[in-house]
This record gives sequence, structure tokens and C-alpha cells, in this order.
Amino acid sequence: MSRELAPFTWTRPAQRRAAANVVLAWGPLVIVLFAAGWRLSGLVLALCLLVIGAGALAFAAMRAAASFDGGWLVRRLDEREAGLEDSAGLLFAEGDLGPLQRMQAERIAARVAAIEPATLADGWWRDRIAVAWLLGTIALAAIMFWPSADNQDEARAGTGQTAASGPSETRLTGGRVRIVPPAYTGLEAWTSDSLDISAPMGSRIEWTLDFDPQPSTAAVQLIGGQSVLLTQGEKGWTTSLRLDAPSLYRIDAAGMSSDSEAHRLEPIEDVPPQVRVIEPATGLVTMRPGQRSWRVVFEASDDYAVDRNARLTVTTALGSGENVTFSERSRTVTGSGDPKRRRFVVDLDLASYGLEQGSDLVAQLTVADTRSPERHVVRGPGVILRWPAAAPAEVDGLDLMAKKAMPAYFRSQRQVIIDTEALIARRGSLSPDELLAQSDSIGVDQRLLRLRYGQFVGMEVEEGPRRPPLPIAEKDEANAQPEAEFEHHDGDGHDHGAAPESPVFGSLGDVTAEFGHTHDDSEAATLLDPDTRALLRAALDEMWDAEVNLRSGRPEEALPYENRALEYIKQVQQATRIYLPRVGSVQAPIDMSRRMSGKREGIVGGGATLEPFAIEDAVPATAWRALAGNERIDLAGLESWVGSNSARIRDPLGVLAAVDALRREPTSRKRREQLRSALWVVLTRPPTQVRRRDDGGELGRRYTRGLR
Amino acid sequence: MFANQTTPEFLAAILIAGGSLGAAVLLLLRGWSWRIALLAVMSLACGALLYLALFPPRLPVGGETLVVATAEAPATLEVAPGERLVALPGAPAIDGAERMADLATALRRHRQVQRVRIEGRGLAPRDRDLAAGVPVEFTPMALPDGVTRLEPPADVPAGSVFTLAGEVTGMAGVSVELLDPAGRIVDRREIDGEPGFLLGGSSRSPGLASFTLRLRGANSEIVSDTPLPVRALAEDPVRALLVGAPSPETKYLRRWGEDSQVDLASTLNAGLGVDLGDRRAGLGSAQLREADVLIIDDRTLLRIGSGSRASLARAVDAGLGVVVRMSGPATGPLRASWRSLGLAVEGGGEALPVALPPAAPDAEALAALRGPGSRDVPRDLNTLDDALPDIDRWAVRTPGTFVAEVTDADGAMLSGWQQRGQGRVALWTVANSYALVLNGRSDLYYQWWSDTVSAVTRAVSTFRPEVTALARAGERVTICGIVGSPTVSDPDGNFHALAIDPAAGPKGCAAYWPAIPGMHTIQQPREDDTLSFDFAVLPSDALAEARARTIGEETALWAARQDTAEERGGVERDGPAWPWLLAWLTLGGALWFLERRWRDHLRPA
Repeated sequence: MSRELAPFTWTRPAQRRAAANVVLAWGPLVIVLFAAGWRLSGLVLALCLLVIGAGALAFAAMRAAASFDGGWLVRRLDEREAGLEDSAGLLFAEGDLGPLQRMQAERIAARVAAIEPATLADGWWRDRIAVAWLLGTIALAAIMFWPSADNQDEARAGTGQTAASGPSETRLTGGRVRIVPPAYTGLEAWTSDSLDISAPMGSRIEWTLDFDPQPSTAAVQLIGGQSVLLTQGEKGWTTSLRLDAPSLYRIDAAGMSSDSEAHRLEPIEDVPPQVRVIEPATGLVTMRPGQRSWRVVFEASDDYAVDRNARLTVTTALGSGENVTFSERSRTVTGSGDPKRRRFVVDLDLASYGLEQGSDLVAQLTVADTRSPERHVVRGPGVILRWPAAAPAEVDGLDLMAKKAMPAYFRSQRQVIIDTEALIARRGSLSPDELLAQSDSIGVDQRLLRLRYGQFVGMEVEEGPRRPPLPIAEKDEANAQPEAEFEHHDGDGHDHGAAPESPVFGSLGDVTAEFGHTHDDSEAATLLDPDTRALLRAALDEMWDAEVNLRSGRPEEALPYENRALEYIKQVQQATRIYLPRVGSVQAPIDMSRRMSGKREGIVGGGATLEPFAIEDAVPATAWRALAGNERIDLAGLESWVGSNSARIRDPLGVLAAVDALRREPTSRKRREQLRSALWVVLTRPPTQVRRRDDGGELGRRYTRGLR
Repeated sequence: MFANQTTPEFLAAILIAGGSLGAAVLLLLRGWSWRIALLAVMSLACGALLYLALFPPRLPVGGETLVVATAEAPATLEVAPGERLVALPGAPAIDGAERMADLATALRRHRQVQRVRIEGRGLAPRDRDLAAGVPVEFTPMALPDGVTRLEPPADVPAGSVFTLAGEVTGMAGVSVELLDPAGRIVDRREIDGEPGFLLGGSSRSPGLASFTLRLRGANSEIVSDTPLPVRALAEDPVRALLVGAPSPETKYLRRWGEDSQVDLASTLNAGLGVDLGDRRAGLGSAQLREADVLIIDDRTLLRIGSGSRASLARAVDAGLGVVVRMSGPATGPLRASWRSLGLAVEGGGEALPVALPPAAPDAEALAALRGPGSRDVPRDLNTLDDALPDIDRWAVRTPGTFVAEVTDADGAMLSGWQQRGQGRVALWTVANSYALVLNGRSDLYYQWWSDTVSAVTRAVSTFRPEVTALARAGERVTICGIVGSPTVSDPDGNFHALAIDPAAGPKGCAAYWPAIPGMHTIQQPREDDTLSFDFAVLPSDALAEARARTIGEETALWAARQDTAEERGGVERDGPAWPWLLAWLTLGGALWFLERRWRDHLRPA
């Protein structure tokens, strides 16, 4: 009977429960692996993972189930049922049992039979299964919703398709613009993806556009201008246009909604070339004695290229006083270097110009760029070479007087300082009287210098030199004019040098005096800018203090003033200088019939007539006023006005865009306001008008009549 | 003195006082005990009650205070007993407040009101027209943050610069910007310390332009944008005479006249009968009668002699404007010649430098101020960095009747005028103003000369109605200076007839309520044509802070006026007599009862 009890009927429920627990607890992992594989790589890897996972799971489940065998059953029965008296093993024992054993087995067999096999199995792994599925669900969700690059692209494409309008509407699906600048610019053609174009003036603009679906016709519609038809070719719809004026355009195709965006066509204007003088460093150069040739170097720069050939104009002014004759010669010079920055080196042979003392030579370069069809021609600054005029002729018999009254040279401030320092060094060996005499003689120099500079700020000349002659070259000077000793002691080591220390300042001052018509009055002051004048005044103040100290025999105390004066003068030399060009004057013809007769009638024929100030903004001003109300606007007239005045206006396209917007919505008050705002920018500010005074009506008139 | 007071009340008071005092004294003469004292006091009280029963005290009728809630009044307004709360339009929802269309309705409905207290921002203009008849109490609220005052420019001549004044309260470290109609910045000021600011811009051709005042916060964020209409008027050309000697100044004055559309006739005497002017501009009385303004230099004025000066003075009396241009230091004879024209100035022998203002705060603003260039004057001709010219002015001392018209950046007078009769005489003290043109500041030259000539030119009757500055939609606009049957056309093209208020007298004023913002035009028909005048109406929500401030200030002024007005007549009446009578009877009964009861105690000891 004991043999009737098969152990597997007791163990099977437990085995099933164990396998199910394993499968349920680890199954989510397999599913997550499957999903991750699918997401990362694809279905093949996912299926592989699924198969492997399922196999592993099955193996693990079988292993788990296998541990629930007969031994386990006996142990479980013994520990659970105290009534089995630890004898469950007898029931399932293999082989024969002893009589006592058999009796015991049969005694408990009935008790065992009463036990439900399912109750022996372990419980469900509730916690583990729940946690596993929870984690699995989270992982699955993460895998499903984790954003990936592919997905984004797909999403965008999807929205693009959904946002597309109805199937019948033609859309612009792509476009390229090729810009071919004019050949003279030397720029490569380039392709732009944007339909807003900014390119050198005269460029050729080639559009290549794609539409979907294909329209019957398409055009590039210039706003307020012509319409350029697009032709269909292999690559798409193409056309081209020469960019000459700024305008707005719109791509227009049959079946396309008309309110498409307007694009800009902006030409970049060619800038005229610029000419700079490299050598000489100053605009005015004094001729060296014996100078045979003169080198002038110009540099011309342009945004694209400067023409290789330029024209050099040499003007000579011969003669002096009122008898000055001008002659002009020009020749072609060739430049070198980078086309954008060419250098023109000119060596002038001075002998061929027949220069004489007191004459000027002005060199000027005229350059052109390579713009086509019309070139920009620019005349550069002139540089002047001067052969200084001879010193004024001496009057016979007055030699001594003239020389005494007009010391030809004044010392430079630097020389005054050097002299003072030398005097201080030697003062130990000098008697007080000698010291005072020498110091006083330096003070005289300082005074002359002060007077000289004082002329430029309009200082009245107290006495002394009215107008020192031009400083001239060392050698000529020495021959022409023996040094005039003036209040000096022999051998004091302080005789006047031949040439001034700083010829630049002196000569420049003389230029101002000569051509700028410098008088010894305050009018001369207008030739210098206020900053320079202030500096010069400061220098003069320092000189004055230095002079006072020198004159009273205190060279040490004079020295700081002298140094400061020198500092200021250096600053003045670096300040801006003014050159007034020397040009010929055109006199009115002499009326011979009236000459010497004393008749004055009709000298002025009706007086001078003035040309009215021209403001060419009547069109926008009228439109601007009309826009405030409800009046009709002449949009076409406005557009053509903008077209003809586009050079003057900062942003003509802004106005055109506003005009176009209003044309499309003629009744919109907002568009009118926008156009009005845009027009304000182009309105010229008229000269301030005179406002008529209102008399205040009857009341105001009565009031003013009552005034006493 | 007593004659004035022999009223029945007075006589009754004397009698009753005598009786009750007598009774009290008689009682007290009997001895001293607390009973006697009590009875004496009761007798006196009885006398007082008898008087009150005969002449009951006057009671104010109602005696209520009307609490008027206006805009921004607190929503939880506490009302004390004896106060009645009404809410005007614009006030928030307040519990227990009675809604009223306006203050006049509220006062009419509640005639018993004796005082008015106003809560909130203040009263709208329509409520301030009436005299309340009762004292009004009003405490203005604190100023709101923002642009609380804005003085817009009046009409400006075309091409002229204008200034606008304003005030920002409650904010520190902010800045204000003036934007032109295209949205470009024309001027900018930082606000720190002083709340007031001045901004300048320039007008263009005649018309109504809409500038914007932008308030930027401490972090440059936009706080508010306030629209600001600026009107440039089209003017008939002024007829001017220019008399003097040929000089740079007269040369550029002729240019100014040509450009500024002045009908200028000139005589430039070069001596010996040679005239370099374009037309004969004489000083004959007929020519002076026709001209609006005469520009003459000081030396010429001296040379023409006293007879011509007298006729010139007569022409000024009749309305001619004269500008005397100083060409050198003033001397005694020169000043005497000016005095004959009505210019009483002293000094003028000393030349002082003129302080010139910079053209603009920065290069962008300068471009916006100037506008595009013309063929003659390209826009890049002068830059902001260009040096300013040195020009001088003759320092004159002016009397109090002298009005400075043009001043330099430091406030020194450059030109000004004095009234003489119907006309005005101006003095131009800048010695070499043409240097402005030569140095690229012709805008300043034109501005100064146009301002000076505008100030003195002959007054004529122009159609220039006075309209409330910064009118808002939904708010009453006062239009003055109109006659006949004018109309206003609104932006929608509808016409509204204006009814001129006969009470306004010769000023000719009418009221107008604009419904929509935008440009409105006043049209006044004449025999053969129609005069028109544009004005802008701002949106109803514009200038909220400035409006709040104005309302507060004007309401405070109005409230102060109400305090001085006489009180409402017939608001007091006699109070009821019966309570007093009853009290007298009761007290009298008690007195009688006690006297009987305490008869023994009252016997003298």
C-alpha cells in the first residue's frame, strides 16, 4: 500500500510553483533586454536576446524545480506535520522495510493521505515579482520614450509634412542663388542659400529654385519694378538679373499664395580709391641747396583694385609777389604692388621745371580704379616743394641799422637751454657782473624767441623784429648775410648759430604767415586751432618767466621755465598744421568803357541772385501728410521717388518694404502708420522756418493797444 | 452792546437764570446739609432744562459726510457712522458703496450731506466743474512711479528744434529717451537726483508727427512708451527787409531768408550809392507798413538820422518787428538810437565767448536729428567731432521788460526783444554768427535767426486754435479760438459739429469728446475756403501716471476752493422740544416731592 504513494504527486505542485516564481521574477529582465536590443540595434538582435533570455530562464526554472525532490518532500512532511512522528521517510523509502517500520508506515500512511499536496509548496515570491515588474516597467518606459536623434528627425519631417498646406498650393521647396560679381572686382562667384542678397553693384544674380508641385509659370517679381520670368530646366527653375539698384523682390509662381515674404536685393557700392602721401612726411618740403631731384611716393588703395596707371600733375608757381605764373604739366606713372594697395614712386627731375628762388612745385596724383563701365577717378593730396625766397634786399647805407634792428635769427629754445646750462657750469669762474651780462644776453635771445612765437597767437609786437626773413639753408645764409652780433661780448661762447635748431616749426610758421596772410594781430589767431593756441600761450608764459630770471642774472631759476617752454613747443610742433593752397585767382574782366570815368551807375547788375535751396522731398512729404488722414496715397510715385533718391537715403529698402506692405493691405491703418514711420527717415529737415506771430484775436489786439 | 442781544432767548435766559439762582440761594440760606445742596443743584438744573425746553438746540439736518470713492480708492474703505459712501466711475468695486454717475448726482441725491471726503486719486475734470457748496476734504495719494509730468512742445515751425520737459518720480537710475516717429533715438537723459528732464528733437516738414517718450529702467528695460504728438505748422512767408552794409553776416542772412522761405528784400549799401542787395528795401513808410520785420544793423540805424528813426518807431508802434543787429561794440550814440526804438539796454562794449551746445548726444542721434542729406549738404559733411567755432557776443545788460529769446548753452542772452506799442524790437548781440555756417552749424544759425525773427515779426491773425495738450480718447478736449460753425473730423472720417460755449466769451471755446485715438482735424469754414487745424488724440490709457498726478493736484486745488465757499443755506432747524420738557417736568416733580419729604430737615436750625 505504501507503494501506492507516488512521491511526484506530492512534489509536483512545489516544483511548478518554484518554476513559476523564477519565470515571473526574471521574466521582466528578458523583456527589457529584448526591448533594449530592438531599440538600439533592431529586431534581429532583439530576437536573439529574447531566445537566449528565454533559454536561460527555462534552465533556471528547471534547476529551481529540480531541487524539490523526494528528500525535500520527506523533510517538509516531517517538519510540517508533527503527527507523522518523523517517519515520513518510511513511506517513500526504497527497498524493503522491517516489520516494525512497515507497521509504522502504514500507521501514518493514512495521515499523509489526508494532507493536500499543494499545501506543501513554497509561497509565491510576491515581493520579488512585484519589484521585478515595477523595475521592468520603468525600464521599458525609459527605453520607449528616450529621445534619439533618429526620432527627432522623423518627428520634424512628420510635422513638416503635416504643416504643409493643401495639396493644390505650390510651395517653394528649395533655392540657391549664385552671385557672379563683375569681372573687374576680381571676386569669385559664390552661392548663397539665403534669398536676401547683398553683393557688389553690377553683379549677376542667378536664381535656381525648386517648386512642389511644379507650377505652370514662375517669376522673380521685383517690387515696384519688372518681373523676371523663371524658366524650367533640368536643375529647377532658373533666371538671372543684374544687380544695379536696391530693391525688394518676391518669388511668385502660379498657384502660390501671394503673400509670400519679400526678400532684399542690396548692392554694395564701389568705393572710390584713396590716395595717401607716403613720402615726404610733410605736405611742405623745403628744397635742399643743390637738390637735383625730388622723390615723392604715393599709395593708392581701393576696395577692389587700383588701376596700374595713374596721372601725376606737377604745378609750378614761378615768380614772386603779384607776378606769379602757374604752369601745369602732367605725365603717366605706373604703380607697383598689390592691386588693392598700389604704390606710385615718382622721381622728379627738378632741373626740367626751371625752378628759381621763391618758387613752388606742387605734385599731385590722380588715380583711378578698375570699375566698369565708369571708373572712379580721384585726385589725391598735393605735396609742395619750395625753394625759399631770398632774403629781402638790403638798403644801401642802412646796413648797420637794418641789421641791428632785424637780427636774422632767433635762437631755438633748445639752444637757450644749452647756453643757460653752460653758463651755470661756468659761473664759478665769472664775476657777478660778467654773469649778469652773459645771463642778460641769453635773456635777450629768450625774448626774441618769445616775440617770434607770440606773433602766432596775435600778440602785439612790442618792439624788435617785425618780420624775420625766412630761415634759409646754412650755406647760402652764411654767404648772403654775415652774422649780426647783437649785444654780445667777445668770447662769451655765445654767438648765434647759423641755422635755427628747428627749421620745421619756423618754416611752417612762415608759410602760414605768407599764405595765410598773417598779420601781427589777433586775426592770425584764427589760423591755429584753439588747442594749439592754448599750448603756444602756455609756452610764451614760461618763456616770459625764463626771460625775467635770465635778465636778472639768475640762470638756475630760469632753467625750469626754459625746459617747460621747450616741452610745450614740442607739443605745438606735433599739433595739427594748416596749409592753405596757393592757387591762381580769376579776376573779373575790366570794363574799359567805365574805366577812369568815375561813373558808378549800374555797377551791380540787379544784385546777386540766390539759387533756392532744393529739398527734393515733396513727394514723401506729401505722402507723409496724407498718411495721417484717410487720403489716398500715390504709392507708385513714392516708389519711383525712392528709386531715384536711393543714394541719399540710408535704408531705401525699408521704405519700399513698407510701401509694398501697404499696397497689399490698402485699408490697414497699421500699415499706413508703418509707412509713415518709414517715411520720416527719408524726410529732409528743412531750414528752420519763421513762425508767424499770432495776435491773440480781438482780445490780444485790445491788450497790446492798451500797453504803454 | 446789549441792544444787539435783546432777543427773546436772551430775555428768557436772564429771567430763568434769575429765578433758578434765586431759588438755589434761598435754599442755601437755610443752612448747610447735603440735602439742601442737592436741592439747590436740582433747582439750577431745572432752570437750565426749562430754557432748553423753551429754546431747544438747533440740530444740523442729517449732518452726514459723503465719502466719495474715486479711482484707486482702497477696496476696503471703512465708513464711520454718519458717513455715506458713494463710488464714482473709475472707482474699484467697494462693498456697500452706492454707484453714482458723477459727483453732482451724488450731492443732489444726498442733500443732507454737510461734508465731502474724497478717497483715491481724485475727481475727473467733469466733476470739478461744479461748486460743491460744502467743505471738501482731500488728501492726494503718493505720486505713482513713472513719467508723472510731461510738458509737450507747442506748435513748432517746420525744421525747428523743440524741447520737451517732463518729470519722472519714484524711480532712480532710470533714463528717458526721445524716439522719433521712425523709432530712432534722438535724445537721451539719465535721471538721477533731479526728477525733471529736458529732451530735444527736430521737426521736419509741416504735419503732425508722433514722437515717443521711452522710459528705461535701471537695467535698460523698457518701462513705458508714451506717444507724443508734435505739430509743425505750415506758415505763410514772412515779408522781411534787410538793410545794412555788405558783410558776411548779410550774405548769410540772405541765404537764411532764401532757405527759410522768408520773402526777403535787401539793401546792402556798399557806399557811394552802390547797392549790392537784390531789391530795393527802403525805409519808406509804405514799405514799412507792408513789411512784417526789418533787420537792420546798428551802424545803419545810427546813420539814417533821427527823422527816419522816428518814422521807424511809429511803424513799430503800428506792429512792425525790428531786429537790430550789433556789428560791433555798443557806444553811447548807438544805445541812444536803440532807445528811440524802445530798446533800453546798457553796456554792450565787452565781447564774451558764446558757449555752444554739442550738436547731439551721439552720432546716431545726430543722424536722426539731421535727417538725410541733400545734394548741397551731404549727410556726412560734418561729424560730431568737428570743432565748434569760436563766436562772441556783446554782453549787454537788459531791463526787466526785455525778453530773452535765444540763449547759449550757459543761458547767456544772445538775442531778445522788447515790446513797443503793437510791435517788438529785438537786439541781436552775436558778433560773428555767420561763423556758424562756415563751421558746419548752419542748423544753429538758422534756428537762432528764425527764432529771433519769429519772436518779433508782425502779429497777424492766424487760425491756430488752442487745443488741450495731450488729449486722450474718452476725455473732454477744450478747443478755443474758433468762431462760426466749426466741425471736427475724426480718423474714421466722421464729422462732429462743435457748439461754441457762449459763456466762454470772446475766446470762442467749445468742448469735444474724442471717441477714438488718432488724428482729428478742426475745420472752420470761411466765405471762400475752409481753415483746418490738426490735433492728435492719444489712446485712453496713455499717460496714466501724468494723468493721475494732474487729477490729484487739480482736485486738491478744487477742494481748497470749496472750503472757502459759503455753506449750504437752511440746513439747520430747531431740534425737538419735548425731550427737554419731559426732563424738566420730571426733575421739577422730583424737586417738589423731595422738598415735601424733607420739609423737616429744611427748617432752619
